[in-house]
Amino acid sequence: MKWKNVSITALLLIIPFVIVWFVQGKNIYTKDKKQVITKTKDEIFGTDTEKIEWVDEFQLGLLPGVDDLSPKLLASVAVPSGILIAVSLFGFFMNYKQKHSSVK
Amino acid sequence: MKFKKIAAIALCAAFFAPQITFSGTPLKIGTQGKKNSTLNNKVGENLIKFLCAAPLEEIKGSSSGVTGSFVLDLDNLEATTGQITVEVKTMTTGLNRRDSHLWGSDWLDGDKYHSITFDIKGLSDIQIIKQDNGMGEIKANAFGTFTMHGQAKQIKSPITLKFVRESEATKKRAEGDFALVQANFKIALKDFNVTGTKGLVGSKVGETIDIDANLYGSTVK
Repeated sequence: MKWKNVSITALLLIIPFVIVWFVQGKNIYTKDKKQVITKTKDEIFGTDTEKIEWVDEFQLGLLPGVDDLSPKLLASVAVPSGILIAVSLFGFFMNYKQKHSSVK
Repeated sequence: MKFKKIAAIALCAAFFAPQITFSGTPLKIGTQGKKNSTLNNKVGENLIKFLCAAPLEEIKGSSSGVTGSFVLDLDNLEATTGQITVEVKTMTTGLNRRDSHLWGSDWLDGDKYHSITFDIKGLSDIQIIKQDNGMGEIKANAFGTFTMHGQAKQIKSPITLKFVRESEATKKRAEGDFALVQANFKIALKDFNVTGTKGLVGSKVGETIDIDANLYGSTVK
């Protein structure tokens, strides 16, 4: 029963990652800056003028924004979800093993 | 008699031919001559945007490190020239790690090739959109040498150019006559020997880059 709880908890922990990813713009890669575009009407030229600023803002992506082995790999949906799925599978396996050993 | 006719035709041809050959397209806005415009952020935000469509994600980036100038010849628009420079290390894509890759030796090699330049040699296919006493607007193709990653290539870019004479309204921003050049063109990375980290071009990074430029200049530095 204990291992089954571990598995279910691990699977449930994936949900907040997916929600944050969805809310922050469904980015493929995790980003550390956000593009802020300010458009204004330019009366002299009769055009729309754009001003782009990059502000520091973390945006969770499906895949990590780094490609080396560093703790920053965890700042993504795929890597922690993969770990949690592995933990969950391990929990289900232990649960199965426990059940079968107690039957014997 | 025949000789006189031939001589008269030859004389006319000699007189008109240079004028036909060398007369350029004028922009009649109440002022004449060459106008040297230097990019000036007080006139408007000088901005280069780039977009790289890749199968996984569109990479959007920009650079505000744009400098340069152009000489607009109002009597002969074809003779317009200029140089626009973008510092490689001012290009950003919203991901620090990706930016350092972009500036790195596998990509644009910003340490070795500090800037990307477009040397405008002239304008072609000029179409006057508007010309009055205070302002002129044209559409044209700007041709010249685009240099990136140490490789130079002749390119042609469609542009819209607006020229506004100094007025009370313009003086509130900056001195001089104003010019705005909007350009949009594509470049292929392989044309500039940008190969990238093995396997990334075509998968994570697109093979072509869309470039959008908004360049604001003033005739007074």
